[in-house]
Amino acid sequence: MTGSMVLRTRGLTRQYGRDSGLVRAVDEIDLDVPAGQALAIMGPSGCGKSTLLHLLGGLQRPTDGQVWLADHRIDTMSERALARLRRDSVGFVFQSFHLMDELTAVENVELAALLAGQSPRRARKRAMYLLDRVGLADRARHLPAELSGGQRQRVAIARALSNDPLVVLADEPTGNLDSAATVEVLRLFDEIRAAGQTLVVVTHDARIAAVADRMISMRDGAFADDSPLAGAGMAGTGSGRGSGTAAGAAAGTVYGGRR
Amino acid sequence: MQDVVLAMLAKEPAHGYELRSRMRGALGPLGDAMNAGQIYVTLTRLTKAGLVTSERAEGLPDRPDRRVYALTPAGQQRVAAWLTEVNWPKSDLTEFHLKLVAAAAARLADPVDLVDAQRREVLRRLRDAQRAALDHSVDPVAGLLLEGVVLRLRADLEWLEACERMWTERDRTGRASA
Amino acid sequence: MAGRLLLVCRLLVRDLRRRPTETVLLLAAIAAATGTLTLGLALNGIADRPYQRTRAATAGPDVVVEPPEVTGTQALTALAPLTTAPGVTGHSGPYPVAYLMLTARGKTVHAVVEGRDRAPATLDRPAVTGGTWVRPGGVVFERAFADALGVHTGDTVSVDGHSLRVDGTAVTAARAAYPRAGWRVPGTPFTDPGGLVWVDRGDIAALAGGSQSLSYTLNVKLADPAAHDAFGAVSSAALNTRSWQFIAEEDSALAKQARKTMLIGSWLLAALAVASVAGIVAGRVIGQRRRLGLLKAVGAGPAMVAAVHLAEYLVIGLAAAGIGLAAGWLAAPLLASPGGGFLGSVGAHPPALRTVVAATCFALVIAAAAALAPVVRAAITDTVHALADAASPPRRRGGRVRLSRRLPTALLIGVRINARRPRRARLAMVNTLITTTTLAAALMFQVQNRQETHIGPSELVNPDDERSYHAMLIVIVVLCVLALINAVVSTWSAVLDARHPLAVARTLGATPGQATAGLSAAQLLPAVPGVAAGIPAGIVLFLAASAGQIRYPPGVWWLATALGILLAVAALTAVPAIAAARRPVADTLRSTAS
Repeated sequence: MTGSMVLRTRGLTRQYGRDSGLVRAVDEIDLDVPAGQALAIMGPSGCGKSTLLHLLGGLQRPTDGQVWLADHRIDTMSERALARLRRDSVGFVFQSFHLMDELTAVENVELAALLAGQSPRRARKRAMYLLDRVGLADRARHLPAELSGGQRQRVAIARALSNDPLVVLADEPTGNLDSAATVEVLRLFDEIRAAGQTLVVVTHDARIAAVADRMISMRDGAFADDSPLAGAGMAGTGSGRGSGTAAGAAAGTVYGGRR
Repeated sequence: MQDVVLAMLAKEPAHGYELRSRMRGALGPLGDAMNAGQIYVTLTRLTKAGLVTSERAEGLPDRPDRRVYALTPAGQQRVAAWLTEVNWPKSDLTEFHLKLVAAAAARLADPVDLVDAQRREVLRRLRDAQRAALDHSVDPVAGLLLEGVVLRLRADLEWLEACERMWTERDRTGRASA
Repeated sequence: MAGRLLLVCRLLVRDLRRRPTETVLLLAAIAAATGTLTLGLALNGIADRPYQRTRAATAGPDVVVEPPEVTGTQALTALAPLTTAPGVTGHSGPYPVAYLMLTARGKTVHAVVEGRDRAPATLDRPAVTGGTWVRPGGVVFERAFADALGVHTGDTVSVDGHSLRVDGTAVTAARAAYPRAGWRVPGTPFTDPGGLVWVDRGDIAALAGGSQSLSYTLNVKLADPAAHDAFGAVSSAALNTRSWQFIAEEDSALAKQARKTMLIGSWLLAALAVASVAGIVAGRVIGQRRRLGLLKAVGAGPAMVAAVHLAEYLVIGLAAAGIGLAAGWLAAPLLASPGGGFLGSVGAHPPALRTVVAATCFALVIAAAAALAPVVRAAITDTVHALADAASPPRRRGGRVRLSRRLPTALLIGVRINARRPRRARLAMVNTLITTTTLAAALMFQVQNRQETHIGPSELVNPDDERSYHAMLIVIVVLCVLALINAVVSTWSAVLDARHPLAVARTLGATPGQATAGLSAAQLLPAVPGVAAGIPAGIVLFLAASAGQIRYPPGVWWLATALGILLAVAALTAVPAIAAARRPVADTLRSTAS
C-alpha cells in the first residue's frame, strides 16, 4: 500500500563497474517518504547519497529494486514518460544551480512550465509569483551571471517549485555557497517545508538538520542511522524562540565548561 | 562571567538591570537561558573582592534595584589584564574518547552505538542553534555567536564520523580475526 | 504548444546571440558550399534556356542546310529542290556566305560573313542587341564575337582589305556562337573556329571577290521539328545539315568544362564545410551537453531535447542556404558573360525551383550531418553525466604516449595533445587533405597549355578555358577562406582544450616556447599526411576531369606547394598558441580547475 507515501523504494540498488572493480553506490535501500516530510540524507562524499537522489528522481536507472513516486513505478518507465514525470511531479535543485546562463531569472523559472505546455502568459505569471516568494521579484530580468550564489540557488528553487511538484529533490544545495548564502537558502527551505512541501535533501552539511523533520545517515551505499527529529514537524518558521533554551544548552556545552 | 561584567562596567557606571539587558542583547537567543539572578550574585562577589563599588541612586522609585555599580581602580586593572589574556576554552573530547576505549576494552557497550547516540545529541544541538540563527529577528552581532556555536558543533560531528569509521573498522577486523 | 514553441525559439535566439562568432563561422562555411553548388547548377542551365529563348525570339530555323563543296550557282541549284521537299513548311534564303579574314583592333581572325537583306526574313531574324541591323557598307557582329574581339558599334573593321563600319551587334539561333560559328577552310568540308558577321547582301560579292566564290546557306522550317533525321535522309549526302538541337548542343558545350569544375569544386567545398561545421560543433558540445542535461532534468522529453538542439542548426542551415543561393546566383553571370551569344542573361531570372531545392537540401544536410551525432549522443546520455559538465574525458592512447617519450619536448607535447583528442586531429587532417587536393588540381590546371584559340592568323582567348579558369579561381578563393577558418577554429579549440595539461606541463618546467611549439606541432602533425595524400589526390582528380595531353609541373613546384601549406598551418596555429602560452600559469590553472 503506497498510501500517503510520496516516495517509496524497495531493495533499491545501483552498481558501477564489474568484477573486482564493482562498487555498490546504493545497496538495497528501502525508503518511505510520507507526504509533507522534509528528509535530509547525510553522509560523507562518496557514500552514494547523490546516486540515491538521482534514482529517486528518475535521472538514473537502478541496477535492481523498485522506486515508486506517488503510485507510479518509475524504474521501469520509458525515457519519455520519465521526462513527463520529472516535469510534472519532481523539482530538482543542484549544487551548481544549473541555471541556463543565457536565460534571465524569470525565464529560467518558467522553463518547466513551458515544457509542460502551459501558455506563456500563465507560465510567466506563476514564475513572477515564485520569484516574489523567494524574494527576488526585483531581480527577475537579471541573467544568472548578474546574481550572487545565494540568489542563483533561490532562482533554482523557484524553478523547482514551478510545477507544484510532489517532491523537491535537492543535491548539496548549499555546497557552493558561503555561510550567509547558506542561511538564505536554509530559510527558504524552511518556508517551503512549513508550507507542506515534501522535500528530500542530500548533503554533507549538517546545518540542513535545522530544516529537516528526519535525518538519515548514509554509509557505503546503505542507511546507517535513521532518526526522526522530534518536534520538527510541528515547529513552524517562528520556532526560533521556542528552541532558544536548547540552543542555550548547546552553547553551554561549548563555553560552559569554563564559564 | 566576572570578567564580562567588569568589562561591561568599564564604559560607565550602570544599574544591574542595564547590565543584564545589555548582556542578553549581545547573546541573542542564547541570552534567554541566562539566569536573572546570576548578574546580582556576580556583582555582590565583585563588590566583596573590592573590584566594584556601588551607591544608591535617586529618582527611580519604581525600581526595586536602585544601586549604580562602578569599577574601582583594581577593577580597571583586572579588565585590562583580561583583555590581553589569550586563554581559549578547550572542548573536552578526551573524556568521550576514553569512554569509547573503555567500553570497547571491557565490552561494556558497542562503541559504534555510543558514537551514534552522541551524534544524534550533537545533531540535535546543531539543529537548535541553526534554527535560532535562521530567525530573521536575530541581531547580526548576536548571530555571530550562533555561527560560532554551529561551526564548533559541525567540527564535533566530523570528529564523531571519524570515530565511527574507526570503530566500525575495528569491529569488522576484530570479528574477522576472531 | 505555444509555450514550447516560445521556449525553443527563445533558447535558439539566445544561444545564437551568445556565440556570434561561431554563428557567423557556421553560416560562412555552409553558405560557401551552397553558393558553389548553386553556381555549378546555374551554369548547367546557362546555355540551355537562353538558346530556347533566342530561338523563339529570332524565329530560329529547325534545320540549316549548306552544300559544303560547291559554290556559286552550283550551290543554289543544289539547294533549290529542298524548299519544296516533303515536310518542309517554310524557308528563308538561300543567303550568300563567305569565309573570309576580318581584321579588327590589330587582330586578324576567321569570320563567317553572311549577306542579308535589310527587310526581316521569315526564318532566322537575328535579334539586334546593340546599334542597328545591316546597312550597305556596314557590318553587324554576332555578340559573343564582338565581345571577344572587343569591337563596338561605330568602330571600323576590315574584311579582306575592305573597310566596313560596325553597325551593331545581334544574336541568332541559326549558328552556334563564337568560336563555333563553323568557318570553313576554302575547298574542304573541314571547319575551324571563327565568328559570325552579317553584311548587306549587295556588299558580299565585292568582299568575296566575285559571286562565283560565294557559298549559300538555307534556313528550313519543318512540319515536325523533331523529324530532322528524316529530312537529312531526303536531302542528298552532298548537303550539310545542322539541326537546331545540334546548334544548341554546340552552344552548351561552352560552359561544360566550367560546370564540371564548379561541381567538383562544390563537392570538395561541401566536404570541407562538413569538416568545418563538425569542428565548430565539437567545440560547442561541452556547453550543449550541459544545456541538454539541464533540459532533461527539468522534464524535457527526448523529442524536445532534439528539437532544441536541431532547430539551431537548421536555422543556421536555412540562412546559409539563402545566402549561398543569392551569392551563387549573382556570381553566375560573371562566369557566363563570355557566352553573350544569347538573348537575356542567367542572373536576370529567378533560379529554377530545382536549384533552390537542391541548394537548400544541401545546406540542411551539411548542418544536420554535423549536428546529428551530438544530438543523438545527448539524447541517449545519462542525464547525470550530461549535467556533470565535462566533455567526454580524454582517452588514453598508451602506445602513443610511450612513443612520445623519446621525442623532443615540443613534439612530445604535440603527440600527446593529439592523443587526447584523436577526432580533432583527424579533422585537421581532412582539412589539409581537401585544401591540398584542390590546390594540386589547380596547379595541374595552371601548367596545362592554355589553349589560345587560333582564329586565323591571330589568337584569341578561348572562352571555354577562360570560364573554367574563372570557375577554378572562385572555387580556390572560397576554399582557401574556408580552410583558413577551419585551421583557426581547430587550433583555438585545441588551445582551449589543452590549456590545462599545458599549464601543468609548464609548472613542470616546459617553457612557453615549448608549449607554443607543442600546440603548433599538434596541428602540423596531422597536416603532414593530409598534404602528402592531397597532392596525388589532386592529380588524380584533374586527370579524371580532363582529357587530352597532360603536362605535369616540375617536382620543385609540388615541394613548394606542400611546404607552403605546412608553413601556413604553422603560422595560423602559432598565433592562438602564443596567446595561450603567454598567459600566466596560475591563471590558467585557476580558471580550468573545477
